[in-house]
Amino acid sequence: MKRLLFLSCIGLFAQFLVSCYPGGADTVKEMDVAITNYDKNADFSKYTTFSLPDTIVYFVAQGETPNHTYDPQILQLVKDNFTQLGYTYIDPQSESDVQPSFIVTVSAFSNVNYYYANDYWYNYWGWYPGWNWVWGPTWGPGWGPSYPWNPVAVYSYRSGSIVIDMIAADQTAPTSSEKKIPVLWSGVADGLLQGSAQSILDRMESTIDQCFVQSPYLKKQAQ
Amino acid sequence: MRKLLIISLILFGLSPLVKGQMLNLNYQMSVPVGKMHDFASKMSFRGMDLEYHHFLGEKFSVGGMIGWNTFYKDKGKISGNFRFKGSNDIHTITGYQYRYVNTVPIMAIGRYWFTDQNSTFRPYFGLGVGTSWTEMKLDVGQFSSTNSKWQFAFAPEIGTIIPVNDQFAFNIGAKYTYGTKAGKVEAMQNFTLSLGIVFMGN
Repeated sequence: MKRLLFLSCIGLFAQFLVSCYPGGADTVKEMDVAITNYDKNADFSKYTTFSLPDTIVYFVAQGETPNHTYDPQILQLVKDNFTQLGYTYIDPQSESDVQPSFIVTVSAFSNVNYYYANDYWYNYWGWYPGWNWVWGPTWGPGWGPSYPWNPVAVYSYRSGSIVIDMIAADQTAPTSSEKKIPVLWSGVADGLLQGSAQSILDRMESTIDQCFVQSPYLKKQAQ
Repeated sequence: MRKLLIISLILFGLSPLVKGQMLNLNYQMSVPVGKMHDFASKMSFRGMDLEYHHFLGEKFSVGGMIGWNTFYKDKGKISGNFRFKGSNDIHTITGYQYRYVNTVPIMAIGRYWFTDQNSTFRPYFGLGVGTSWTEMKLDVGQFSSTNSKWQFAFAPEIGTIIPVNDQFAFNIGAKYTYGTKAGKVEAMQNFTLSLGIVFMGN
């Protein structure tokens, strides 16, 4: 009898402890992360001007149509962040003689299981007028970005990511055998695609801002 | 882990409660200190242990214990530098961080009892020596990092049991547990308050 009582006490206790095991994220917002990395060997002070395409390239699951409704808002936000850091924006349509020192690309992924370094990634950007500056005679379609770090795999759940890449446009001697364009900095705004379009956009925007906040090395040096 | 718990339950359940033995079940509250405090500073109200003591004469006992304590801290939105598995690159990740520490101490305990079996209070001090399985876990967004190791551990303790009759008593005790740093798992230190029930085989 005594033994039985003791055993049931243990059972009751264990039950109690398991049932109040602590929680973790409660809301979708709490699953948002801003991930950044940069080329530790890059000299960010020599980059002063930039350009960015007027659209976002989407990587979506087969059969899905990308929704470009929010492109202008997101691109404007990215542009504003770079100009606030002191970099000068050059409109690719302006036919300016000034070549930007870096290009910013914005791409969006809404899928499960991806690596954001993709072999034929830059084929999507083939039409971008800014590439004339970047590619010059030797670079061309088929070239891909080269990350100086290993890519991040974002997995499981129904997640969406916006990837902002800062790509050097001043490379005079790219490693032509590899067809790689060096990526200087990359910011990933990752979150779950749940809730209204507006709430997803709001979350994405604050996560994009966070990518810049946590990258203090991104700043144009005083000339 | 669960297997261990079940085995110990069966062993204790079957062991005859003969003279000079004590079974003790405690509820525990713990405060992490040192490196564990840095990782997950919040006080834990989730803990228990199961103890067995065998008397060698009036004043000395030897026994064993197995326990479980869970620490948790919601760190809010913060930045950190992380390495992904299979890569040495450091990525900066900002997001809501949730941190957990689970620790399962398994120790042999020696105790000195200040008074004999007929006292109203039976204060004791003791020392536990053994191991502690400690797991540190950090969640941020969809990412999770877990490190777990067996640590060498010891735990000095003081307390008293308050007998109700010759078969049943209450226990109140305090102890400090130290587990040595093992690999990526930091040194485990905590102060624990135990409240429990005791079945005695007199």
